Amino acid sequence: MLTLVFILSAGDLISQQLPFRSYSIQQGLSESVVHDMYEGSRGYLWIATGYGLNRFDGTEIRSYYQHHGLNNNHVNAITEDEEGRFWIGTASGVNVMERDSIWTPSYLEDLRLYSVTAILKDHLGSWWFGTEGAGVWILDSNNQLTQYTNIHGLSADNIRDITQDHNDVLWFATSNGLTNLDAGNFNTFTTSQGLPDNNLHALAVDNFNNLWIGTDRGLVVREDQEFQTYNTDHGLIHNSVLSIARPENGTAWLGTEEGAAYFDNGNFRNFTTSDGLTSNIIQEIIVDREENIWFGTLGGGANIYLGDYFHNYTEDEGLPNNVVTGFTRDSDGNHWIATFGGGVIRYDGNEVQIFNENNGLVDNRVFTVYSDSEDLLWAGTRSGISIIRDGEVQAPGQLYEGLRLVRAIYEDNETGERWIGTYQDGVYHYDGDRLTVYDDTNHLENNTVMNLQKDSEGRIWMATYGGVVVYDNGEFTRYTIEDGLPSNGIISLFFDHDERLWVSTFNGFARFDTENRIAETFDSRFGLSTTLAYFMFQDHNQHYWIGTNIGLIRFDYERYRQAETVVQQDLSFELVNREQGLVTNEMNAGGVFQDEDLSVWLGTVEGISRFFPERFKHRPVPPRVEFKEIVFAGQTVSPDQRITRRHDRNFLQFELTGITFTAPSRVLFEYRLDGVDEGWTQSHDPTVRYPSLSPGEYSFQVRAYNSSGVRGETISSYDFEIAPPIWLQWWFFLLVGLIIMGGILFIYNYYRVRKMVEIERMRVQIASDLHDDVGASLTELALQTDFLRTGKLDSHVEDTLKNIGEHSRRIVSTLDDIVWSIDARNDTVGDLTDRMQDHANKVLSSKGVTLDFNFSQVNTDRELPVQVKENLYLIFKESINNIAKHSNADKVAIRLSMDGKKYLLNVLDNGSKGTNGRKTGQGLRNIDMRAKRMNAEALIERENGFNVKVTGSLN
Amino acid sequence: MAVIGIVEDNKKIRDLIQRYLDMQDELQCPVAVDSVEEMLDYLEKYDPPDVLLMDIQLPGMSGIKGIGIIKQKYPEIEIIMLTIYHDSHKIFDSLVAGASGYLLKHTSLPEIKESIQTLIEGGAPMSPQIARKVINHFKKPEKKSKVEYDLTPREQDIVNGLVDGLSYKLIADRFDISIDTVRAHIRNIYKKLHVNSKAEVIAKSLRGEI
Repeated sequence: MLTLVFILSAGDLISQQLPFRSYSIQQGLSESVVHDMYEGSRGYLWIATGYGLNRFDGTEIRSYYQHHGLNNNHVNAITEDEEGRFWIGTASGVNVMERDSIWTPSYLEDLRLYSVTAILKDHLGSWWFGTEGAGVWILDSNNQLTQYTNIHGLSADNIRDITQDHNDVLWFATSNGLTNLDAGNFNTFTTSQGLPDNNLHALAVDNFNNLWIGTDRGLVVREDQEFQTYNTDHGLIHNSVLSIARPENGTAWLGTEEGAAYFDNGNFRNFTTSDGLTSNIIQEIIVDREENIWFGTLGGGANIYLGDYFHNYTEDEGLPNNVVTGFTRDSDGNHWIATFGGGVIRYDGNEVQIFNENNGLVDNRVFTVYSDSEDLLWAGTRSGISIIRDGEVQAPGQLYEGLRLVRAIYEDNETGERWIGTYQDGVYHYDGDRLTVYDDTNHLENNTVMNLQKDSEGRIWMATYGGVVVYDNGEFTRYTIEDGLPSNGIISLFFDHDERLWVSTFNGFARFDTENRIAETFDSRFGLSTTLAYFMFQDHNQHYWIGTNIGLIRFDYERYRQAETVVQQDLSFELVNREQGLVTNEMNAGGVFQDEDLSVWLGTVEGISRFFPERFKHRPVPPRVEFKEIVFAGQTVSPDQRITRRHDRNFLQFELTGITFTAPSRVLFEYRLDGVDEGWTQSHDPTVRYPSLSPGEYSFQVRAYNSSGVRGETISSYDFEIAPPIWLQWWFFLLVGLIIMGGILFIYNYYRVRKMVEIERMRVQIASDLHDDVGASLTELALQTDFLRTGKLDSHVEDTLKNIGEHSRRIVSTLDDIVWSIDARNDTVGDLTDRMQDHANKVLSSKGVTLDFNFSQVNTDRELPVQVKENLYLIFKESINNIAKHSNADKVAIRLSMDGKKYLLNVLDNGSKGTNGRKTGQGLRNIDMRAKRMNAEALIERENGFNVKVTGSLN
Repeated sequence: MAVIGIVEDNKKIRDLIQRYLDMQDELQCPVAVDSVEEMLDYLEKYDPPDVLLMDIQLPGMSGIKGIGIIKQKYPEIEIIMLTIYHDSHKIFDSLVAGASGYLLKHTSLPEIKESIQTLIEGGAPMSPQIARKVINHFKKPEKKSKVEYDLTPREQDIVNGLVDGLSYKLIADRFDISIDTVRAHIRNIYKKLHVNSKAEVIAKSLRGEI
């Protein structure tokens, strides 16, 4: 029977998130509306948006705009020719781009008036440009540009897409039908010829020479001159098909106005924002060379889809809590999920039901769930055990009362014995009659028992923080560091398909031969960069997977055993993390369950990832390597340029980029400097430095591995030469001279610096003392007056209180200035100008005065002596306060400039009233006095408003 | 009604602010404690407040560290730093750790109330000193690899405007956008500051009991 609370807590796991990654404005894309995408021959992904063209290498986006040479920031189309030049269709004609320069050839100038929506180079080498409203234009091999429009037989002048089939027939999709150009004649197809709609968006030709057409009423495939339509009746999510990618063997990827779809011979699988897309309007789709699918969206930037191998569930999808600590499955096929904070979840494949403190669970912080032979669900929590029987939560019975921090539960099906591992109190053993505890007073070294497993011979294996403990008919055996285990802190145990024991620990994992007590350990030495292993499992390709705090690690033990070098050993590990779609990198101990359908449920601190190992493909395509930057003796040089430098200009730095989109952060570079390095060096770091090379000829060579450990065969190289020195002796003398001079400078500086450090320390000390004592007391005083004033008071008291408050605040504010000026961290010109701005804004902006700061003539990083900084600031403050009190100005110009050691501060307002002299006398005298203190000159004019000029010199 | 919490070790200042806020119809201040640790205990047991006022120098854990921990566990809490002096370095550190604004302690009680309300309504203050630090923060070479957290060109424009001392209104005029958009951008910049620090605070609460 269900209670009311119970019904209320039932709900759906609404959907799952798939491995999508998105790139939009936040990631540096110039705009979120994508019109076209193109994968260039060098491997970069080009993304044309409504505001700028972008080049993406997997980690960095470089954007191109009008000021780089584009005719218009609105970019519709991009393609590449055989020479590696890009042809770019913009809202104002066509640009050509080679390397980083963008221009418009004179023979394309006529197109500048039109928005170019499609570009195609045909099989004969002519270029076709489709426009919005002006038909198609052809550029022939003599650079002659010709226009064809409706008059010549095109179905409309708004061209949406152009393609060419295997018989060299050109096809044009327009807003009013389909037109082809076959043997010099235009032929048009519309609804009269069988198209479902005349408003067309996209075209593509497949490997059987069938034409695929995206229309406003579904997908159309033209096969043997027949149009076959597929639409929402066949399962397509929306009928407006905006883009088509990779049509082959009756399959294709489609972009629509309500999401994306994969078409497979009449069937559709749809993808929408609820699967992880950032927008449902898909204007462009491409498949990259790594077989990733890219979706160019309207408003959501570009999305990459990596494959169907993770299904993620978080609080957003209906989980009561994201920290997932365990799973099990009962005999009815329900899944049970333990969360740390959200109780226990039952998931029957459609609906979730939540069991928590509201319906009787002893604690919402659950460590483990276990379904026993009688189909009772045991939940091990921080505060003990709860049992769920037929949808009702029960106490576990007297026997198990008082147990706390229950981490592991196991029932031996053959004997009916039960085992319960706890975090602090050892392990409890119920033999059908009595409950016995084993802890550090008898058989264990440590009372933390994290995991329990039974082997094929009926022995119980325990993962404890005091090593692995085996119980065999009353006999205990312990395996620890002394037996070669990497750590005594064991988190979990795993028997693989060959009944071999694997141990996950705080210090990596190990394969353990229990008979001979031989451990093969795998820890941070193996390029894993982590040591924390929570759990392991094995897939049906005999690969091992390790759950860690940096993601899931795939371990190919066979490849490891056959490895001949350390590098090859390292390549048998592959990290799969958030970048590949895992819900988050940090797993939880116990958060793993291998399901009957071969999927694996993973519990993390950010939700659940359901993992399908057999869908996780080996990635055969290696990254392309490009030189992002080469710095030769402080100068950036072009990668195409062979350079000779003098022997003293021998510092070199290479900034590499490995272009891949599958796992951009897992690129492993392999490089060598021919002439210096014996073998190849491997590194994940894209920066390579050679600080001091001897004279000679060199070639720097580099290639890269992808995340699956596949190495590129192409070597990118850069050749250069360092010329030998002409006078070796001269060089030697210089070196000796430098050493002596360096020595003298060092001694001199050493004493100077030591003294400066002492003075600074004192300044900071004084500043913090003032800060702690005086400031706090005054602040109390001020707040006290505020508080008193909230009551009903006579006006005399009210005024006095107000005065006290204001006065205290003024003193705090003065103290603030003093503390600021003696605080040694605020010594630069920038600190001064910032504070000046803050003060002027605070005092004058509220009065509606416009401020014009001119600090362009100063180097903000330059240090100022304390007294100059302090006095300049106080003079400035005085000037501003004068303006605030006495001037009717509505504009104030503030200028600070420096020329060498000379400085000038000028505060000028446009007031007409000027000052009436008497009252401001004190303020102006202050300015004079402060100027004198730092040996500066103060010039004060008060004709119309104020004009304060202070000139002086540093030291 | 907005719920406010206070962490401040000066008992008098703390009591004054708490009593004042409690007297307001639209605010409620059920918790005022003198250390981050006590606040964490409180948060374990009760509903988290909407806004926390937090001192920087505290006994035990510092306010800046406290922000990181509280923000990680209770990201929905908005934190305003309280500071005696206008120390831009500490203020900036606390913004990076997750605070959404700061107040000088000697700010008058009515103004404290006003700032809290502005924050609840989505305001986001940023002074030129802080803006300049934001620019330097995102310029740091070690941040280079984390492209996804860099400022967008538009955010860069806005921070530059703040450094130039422009008001939100003038910035809005300069780029032909609304003041609300400027505010939204600034809030986003704060979020990016927070994200950059998050990775360092990834200590899992379960770690003790893995």
